[in-house]
Amino acid sequence: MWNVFKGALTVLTRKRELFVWSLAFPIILSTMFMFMFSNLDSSTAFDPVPTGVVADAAYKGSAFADVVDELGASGDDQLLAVHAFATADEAREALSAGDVLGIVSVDAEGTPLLVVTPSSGGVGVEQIGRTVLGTVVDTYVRNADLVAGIAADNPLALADPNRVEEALSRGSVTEQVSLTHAAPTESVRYYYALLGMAALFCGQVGMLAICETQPNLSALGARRALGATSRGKTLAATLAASWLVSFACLIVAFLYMRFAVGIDFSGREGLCVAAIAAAALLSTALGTLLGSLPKVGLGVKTGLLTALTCFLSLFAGLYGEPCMALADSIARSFPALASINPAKVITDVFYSLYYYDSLMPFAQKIGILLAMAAALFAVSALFIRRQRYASL
Amino acid sequence: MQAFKAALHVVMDHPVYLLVYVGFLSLMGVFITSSINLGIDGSEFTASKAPFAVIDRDSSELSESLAAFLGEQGERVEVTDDPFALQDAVATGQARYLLVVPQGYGDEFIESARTGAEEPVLESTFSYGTMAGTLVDEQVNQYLGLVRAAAALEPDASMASVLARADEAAAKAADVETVQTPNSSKPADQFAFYLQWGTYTMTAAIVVCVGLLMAAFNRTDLYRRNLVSPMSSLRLGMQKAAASLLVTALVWAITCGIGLAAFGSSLAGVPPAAVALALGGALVFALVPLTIGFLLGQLGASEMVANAVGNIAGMVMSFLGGAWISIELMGPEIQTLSRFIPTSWYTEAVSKSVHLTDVTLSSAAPVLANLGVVALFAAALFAVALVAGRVRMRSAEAGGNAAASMTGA
Repeated sequence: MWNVFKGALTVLTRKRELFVWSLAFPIILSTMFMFMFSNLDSSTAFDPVPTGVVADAAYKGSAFADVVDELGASGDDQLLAVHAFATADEAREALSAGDVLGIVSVDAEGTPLLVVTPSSGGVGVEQIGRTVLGTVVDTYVRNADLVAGIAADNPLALADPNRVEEALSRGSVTEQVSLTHAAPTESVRYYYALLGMAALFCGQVGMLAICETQPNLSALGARRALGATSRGKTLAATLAASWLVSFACLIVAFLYMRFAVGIDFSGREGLCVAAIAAAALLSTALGTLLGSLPKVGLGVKTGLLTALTCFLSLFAGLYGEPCMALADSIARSFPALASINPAKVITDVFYSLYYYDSLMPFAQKIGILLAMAAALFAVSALFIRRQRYASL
Repeated sequence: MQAFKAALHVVMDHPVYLLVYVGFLSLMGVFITSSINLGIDGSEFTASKAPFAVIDRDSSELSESLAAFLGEQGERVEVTDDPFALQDAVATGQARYLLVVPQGYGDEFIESARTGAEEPVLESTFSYGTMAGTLVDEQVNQYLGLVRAAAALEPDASMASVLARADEAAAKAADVETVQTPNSSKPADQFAFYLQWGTYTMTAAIVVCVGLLMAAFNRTDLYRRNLVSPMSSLRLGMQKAAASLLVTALVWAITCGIGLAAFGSSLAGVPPAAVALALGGALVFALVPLTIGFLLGQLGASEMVANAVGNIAGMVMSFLGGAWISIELMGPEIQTLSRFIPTSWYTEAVSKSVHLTDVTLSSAAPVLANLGVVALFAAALFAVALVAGRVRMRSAEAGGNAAASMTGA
C-alpha cells in the first residue's frame, strides 16, 4: 500500500498543470489582492473631513466659528480638516477641484450655510464626509433652535449664561469598544474567500487521481485495475496521496498569505492548519466525486469543476465588494444555503477564527466540512465500486 | 473554408465552456450589477444613510426616541442581542455602527444632565470603514446633546416634554446649497458597471474558447497532417483567425445582449451614438482576449492551460483594470501599473462614453483615444503571437508533448 501511495504521489506531482490551479492560482491572486487592498482598509477609515471655510468678516468671531475651530483642532477627536479661504469664490474653486468636500460660511445674521457637491450616493467615503459636515452644521442649528425655543417659552431658564454654556458643552457620550476577537477589516475576508476558492480548485488533484485509477478513464487506471493490489487499498492510498498534495498546496498558499502578504489570522495559525487539513479533505472528496462520474471526459470534468468553483465562490463573496455584500445577505437570510456551499463554509472557518472569541463556531464549521466530505465520498463510492465498463 | 468550419465545430462541440463562461458569468454580472447601489442622484445633496444597529436593553422613552432619531438619519438594521449576532453584524459590515444602550440608561442620563454628575457611557462599536461609524457616532452625540441641554435648562420638565423639545429642535436643518460639478453619476452608470464587470466574462470566455480552438489544431498528428496538406499555413492561419474572430464576436454579442436586456432601461437619457460607442468599445476590448487566446494557441498550450490562463488573466485584468474595485481605492503604484493593463483604458472609455451628452467627433475623441490604446494592446499581442507561432513551427519539438497528453483532446 505504501508503494501505491508513493506511486500515486509521483503521478500527481509530475502533472505540472495541476499546480497551475492548486498552487500558482492562489499565490498569484493573493499577490494581486495584496496590491489592490493595500489601500482599501485605510481609504474607508476615518480621516478628518476636508472642509473649506469662508473666513470673511461675518464668519470671524461668530459662535459657529468657535465650533468649527474646536472640531478642527488637531488631536484624537479631530473631525474636520479646516482650509480657510478669504472669499467665497476661492472656496468654490477648491470645491470644484475636489480639494474640499464642502464649504461652510456664515451670513450676516450668524446663520451657517453649507455648500456641497451633489451626492455620489451610497456610503462612499466622500459622501459620508459630506454628511458628517451636514451633521456638524445641523448640530449647531439645532442647538441654537433648542435654546431659542426655551427662551421663548421659559426665559427664566436661560438666566444664568454659565448654565447655558455648560448645558451645550460638548462631551462625548459614547465610548468605542471592540466586540470581536480581532478588529473588523474589510480586506481579510477576501483572502479567506480566496482560500475557499483555492481549496475547491484543489479538487483537480483528487479528480485527476481518480481518473488515473479508473480503468475506463486512463491507461494507467486499466493497468492498476489488473494489478494484485486490492481495489480498496489502491483507492485509499490514491486518495491519501491526493489529500497530501492538496494539503501541501494549500499550506504553501496559506504560508504565502501569512508571511509574504502579511494577512492577519489573529494568532490562531495552528487552528488554521487544522482548518486547511479539513478543507483539503473536502476538496479531495469533491474531486473524487467529479472524477468518478462515468462516461464524462476529463476536459468536461475540468470545466465542471471550474464552473462549480466560480459559482460557489460567488456566494463566498470573492468577486469584490458588491459580491461580498450579496454573499452576506444570502447567508443571513438563508443560513442553510450558506452551510451547504463548501466555498462559503471554508471561508467561514477562517472568519470564525478571526472574529469570534469562542471556538464553538469554528468547531461547527469543521464538523460541516467533515460531514460534507463524508457525504461526497459516499456518493462517489457508488460510481467507483463494482462498475462494469467495457462489457459486451 | 474547411478549416474555418472545423474550427467552429471544435468550439460548438464544447457547449459547456460557452454555457459556463459566457452565459453563466454574464448572469453573474447581471446579478452583481443589480445588487449594487450606485446611488444615482445627480442634482441634489442627500445625506448618506449609514447602516447601524441599536441594541436597546433599556427600552426607555429616551432610548426609543434616540433610536427613532437615528432611524431618520440612517438605515437601521435589526440585530438580535446575541454575542455571535453582534460580532457578525460588525465583522461583515451589516451594521457599520453598533450602539448598546444599557438598562437604566435613560433615567441615569437625564439625572446626570440635571445634577452635573458624571454621565453614563454608551458603548459603541465600529465596523470596518470607520468613516461611516464616525458619522453615526456624531449623530448619537448630537441628539443626546440636545436632550442633555433640554433637561438641564428645564430641570422640572418631564421626560416626555424634554424629548419633545429635543425632537422639535432636531427637526430643524441647516441650509444646504448644492453646486454642480461635471462628474456626477447617472443611471447609465449601472449599464457601464455591467460592461466593466464583463471584462472578466469576456476575457475568460474568449481566451478559453479561442485557446480551445487553437489547441485542437495543435495536436501533434493533426498538426503534422495539416503541415503536409496542400493548404498554405497562411490560409490555414487566416481561417483559424476568422473562426476565432467569429467566436469573439459571438461572446461579445451574448454578453452585451444580456446586459442590454437587463439594464437597457437605465440608458434612457443616453444618446444612441454614445451607447453604440460603449458597445463598440466592448468589441474592441474583446480583441485583447482574442489575441491572448491566439497567442496561447501559437505557443501550443493545452485546453487545461487555456482554461487556467483565461480565468486567472481574466481576474487579474479585471481587478487591476478597475472593473471590480474602483482604481481610485488602490495605491498610487497600482494606479500606475493599471495603465499597463488594457482593461483600465477600456473601463475609462465605457464610463466616459455613457456620460456623453452629445456625440461629436470632438466630444468622443477622448473615448476613441482610450479605445485606440486598447486596440494597440491587441495589436502588440497579435504581433507577438505571430512571431511565437513562426518560432514554434520551426522548432523540433513542435506539438511535442501534446500527443501524449491526456488532456490534449
